[in-house]
Amino acid sequence: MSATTATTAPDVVAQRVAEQVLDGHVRSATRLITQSQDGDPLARRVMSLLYPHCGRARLIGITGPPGAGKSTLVAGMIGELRKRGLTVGVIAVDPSSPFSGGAVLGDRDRMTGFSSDGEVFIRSMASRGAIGGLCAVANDAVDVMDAMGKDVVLIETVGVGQSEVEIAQIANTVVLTLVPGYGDELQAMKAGIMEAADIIVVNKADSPGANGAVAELQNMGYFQAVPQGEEMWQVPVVKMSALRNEGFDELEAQILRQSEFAEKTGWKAARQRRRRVHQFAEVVTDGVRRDFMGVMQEGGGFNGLLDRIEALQVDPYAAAQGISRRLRTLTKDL
Amino acid sequence: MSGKPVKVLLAKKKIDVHGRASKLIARELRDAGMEVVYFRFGTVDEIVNAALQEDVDVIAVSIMTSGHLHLAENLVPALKAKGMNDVMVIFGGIIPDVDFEPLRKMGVHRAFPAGLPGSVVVDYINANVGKVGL
Amino acid sequence: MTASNQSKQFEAAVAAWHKGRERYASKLQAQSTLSGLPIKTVYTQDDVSQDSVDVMPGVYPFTRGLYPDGYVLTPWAQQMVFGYGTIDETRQKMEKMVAEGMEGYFGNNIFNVVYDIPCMYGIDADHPEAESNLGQCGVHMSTGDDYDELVRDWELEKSNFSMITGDNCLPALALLVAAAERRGKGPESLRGNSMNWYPRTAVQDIPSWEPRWGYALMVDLIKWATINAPAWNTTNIFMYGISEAGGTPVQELAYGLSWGKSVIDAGLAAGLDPDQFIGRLGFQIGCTVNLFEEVAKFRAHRRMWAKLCRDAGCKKPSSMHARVHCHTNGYVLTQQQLLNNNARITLQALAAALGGVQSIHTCSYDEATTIPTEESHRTALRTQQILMWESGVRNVADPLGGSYYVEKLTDDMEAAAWEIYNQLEAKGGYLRGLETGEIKRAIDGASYQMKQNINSGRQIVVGLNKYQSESLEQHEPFRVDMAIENKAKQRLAAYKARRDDKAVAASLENVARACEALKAGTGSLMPALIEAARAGATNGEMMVPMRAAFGWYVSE
Repeated sequence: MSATTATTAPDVVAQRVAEQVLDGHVRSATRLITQSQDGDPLARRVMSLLYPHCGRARLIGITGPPGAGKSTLVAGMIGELRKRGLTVGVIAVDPSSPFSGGAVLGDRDRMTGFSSDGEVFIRSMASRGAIGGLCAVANDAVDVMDAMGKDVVLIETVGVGQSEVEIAQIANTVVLTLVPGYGDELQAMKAGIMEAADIIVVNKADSPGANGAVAELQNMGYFQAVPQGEEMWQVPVVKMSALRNEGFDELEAQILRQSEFAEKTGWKAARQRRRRVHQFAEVVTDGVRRDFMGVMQEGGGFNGLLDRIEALQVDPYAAAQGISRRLRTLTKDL
Repeated sequence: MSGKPVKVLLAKKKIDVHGRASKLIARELRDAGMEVVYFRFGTVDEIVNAALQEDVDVIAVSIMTSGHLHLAENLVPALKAKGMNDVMVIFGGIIPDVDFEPLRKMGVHRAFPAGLPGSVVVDYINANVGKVGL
Repeated sequence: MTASNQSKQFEAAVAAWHKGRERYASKLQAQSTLSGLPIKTVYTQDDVSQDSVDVMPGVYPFTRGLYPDGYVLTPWAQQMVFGYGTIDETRQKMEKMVAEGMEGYFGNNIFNVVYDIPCMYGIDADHPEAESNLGQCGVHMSTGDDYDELVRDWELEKSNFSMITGDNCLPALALLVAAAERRGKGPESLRGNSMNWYPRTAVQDIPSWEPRWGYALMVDLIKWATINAPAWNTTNIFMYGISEAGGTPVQELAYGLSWGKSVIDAGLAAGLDPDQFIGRLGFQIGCTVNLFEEVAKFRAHRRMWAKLCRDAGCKKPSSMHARVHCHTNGYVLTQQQLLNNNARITLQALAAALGGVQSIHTCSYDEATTIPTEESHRTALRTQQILMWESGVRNVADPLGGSYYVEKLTDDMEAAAWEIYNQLEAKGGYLRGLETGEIKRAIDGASYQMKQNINSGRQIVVGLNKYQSESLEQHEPFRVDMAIENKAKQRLAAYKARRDDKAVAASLENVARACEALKAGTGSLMPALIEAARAGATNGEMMVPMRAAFGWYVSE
């Protein structure tokens, strides 16, 4: 591939990759996701070409704390979707180690039974720790699978708050997976996680305390505000055991109900707009951050400003104010 | 580690009860900054499909209950058939050292005995990833 | 000598001891066992509780052994694991091992036959995933023909068949029962052991039954055998798997006993009488090279199990016996400098014998790199036989009993194990720990810690991180001929061609119905499996309806 890029114009390469992705070519698609994750400029060119072909797939986010059985749930959902003849893409995000930057991505391993099904495309990704970075990368990965023609894209993330909120910026429906006995951890996740949920699944419903957990969540009565009308979306609580293959009908019914509701109330369209605006903001801030860090790494960056900060001649706040002021002016002029 | 993390498919036989070594090497590779897709496989095609979908740089096969020669014999051509000529393939585990050379001839870049510090594997991957082909 | 004189003499000796080490005592590094228990440099009478010493072998709580005279009446059984290829190859090996003097109790035959992975997993030779695994690390035994050949001509009442199965445990027993019937023998004549070790999925990385059904199947076999094959050992509590997965000796004790407790509870819940079934549960325990810690582990284990059994309502002393098969830990063997492993295996087997176990499997020195060769397998057997006949280790019951250190370590290991055990019990017990992955996480953590210790050189492994050599071993391994694959497929095809397909299909439908009945709590599965075995169903065929009924669970 590198040999080709050296001799072929980037636009031609991008065009060819985009065509392959649109044809459903797995190798090109997965490479593209990698390149997007690595910040390869080629990926952005291809993504621009794919963009008009996106927006067809249904995007479902599955999130929740570690050990909630998300992968087993996802595996069950894949099975149900395949029974209906739908093609499925899965993006499984696991956290990177804050110490080494590495990650063990174990979700795929638990999504058994589809290893030889060409219509199921599972792609694991490490979160790589960058704040906001997950969202940018997941956005691209979702768009790639969408453009490939997958009917449904499932986005699985693990996390304790932040990633749930980020995934909610992408998915049409966010399924929060909890298990009985995770009360303390739920507290630790604070409100953000609950606000992100469109449907709450209490998984491992065979465990002791399952009914209590369901009742408690139902009593709390979570709602999602929607843009039009008086009606709020009351977040349903679905009790299921993914392992025992129990509760999938109910989950599917709730996803359908939520999606009809979202369509009817303009919620879906609003979310999709919000996703793109958010994505735009991410891309811009990411770019600015990159540029800024690039300059930082150069010796004596910002006309020697860094040297003066280092020599304690200028305090960092005053220096930052100057930069911010210029950025603001620049942004207004756009 | 600087630059992009190396992505590894760590493949272990699904029906093999021995998981200690494969989980250890997965952790050790993670500790060295690599992204490790842990995957229990049934057939060679499943390894190939997972490697293809995951766009990995390295396929590391953990062997505890023999069959390594047969596996390598089938795996390498299957990867080539899918155009994955730039992936590194390494084996590790309970493999007699007299089989290291036959494995190499089949296209496996390197075989590692069990018990070594993960850094031995890490160093090999870092020195050779992207430079070897099938 | 009076007590006070003795005490004065001891005090003076302790004072002199302190003085003798004054100059360097502060420089001595803290020591600990493999399980992380602190150890001192010297132990005395002050370290030993009277309770621990006031016991005799063969008497509750059996710390000093199950039998009053230890191995004097009969030595431990030489229970070597073997099995490869088709039953033809394994049958030859059985006969050869008998000729080599491999014996069970009182000179009986003992066959510890390991199945290949496809059999364990429940697939026949014609399944695509069986490829390159057939007959490799065990014998491929799937049909009635295979089982007929297994039992042919052996006197069943004097032959112990220990069947190292996987999820195919129930079908394997059914096939054995059917084979015995064809020789005119009922199940009461069977001697041997079902693994019945579903709970191992708490530590092993394999797909298996959904947990509650795994336990239901386990209990079904226990119930059936308790009534129909009372001499059959129903269950193997596989502590070896816990240590092989990375558990420390203390974790092995704690989780192993918790596992045992979960089997007891499941049996009691099914309405079984404790004295009827608990005595037929057995243990398979690992043994590392850490001699004293392992001896203490076996001693503590017997005592702890006896207490659990008494609490469960056992009245007969023999029901409280922790009958232990020791499998020397394979993970301590190194691929580097292979022959060094013979020294390790000798120490491991010595620890097991000093610990008073009932049977021993010694690994072969080349198992770190391959399936054993004929020569290395024989050497492993001979290692036991040298211990048995040359070392004098079996002349005296519990020869280390009363050793200050060993008694103290026995007490300490028991206390440390109860602590982990009680924590797990408080959270719902072993089955719950299996479902939540808690046990696996604890053991993976210990395994990782040990690996870090070996990587850093804190834990020495000779030939691996100390006294290394550059040269390769060039050990030519035992190779299972790949022609075995075809042979296994041909045997299967030939068997299938001779069957009444309609009868087989009907028997499998009956198995499917019995699976549902077992789930509903209204019936038993074993009789339907035996019917299917009689009709000619294979191992893999019986597993199909079972998989459909009992789920296929990949642990967290």
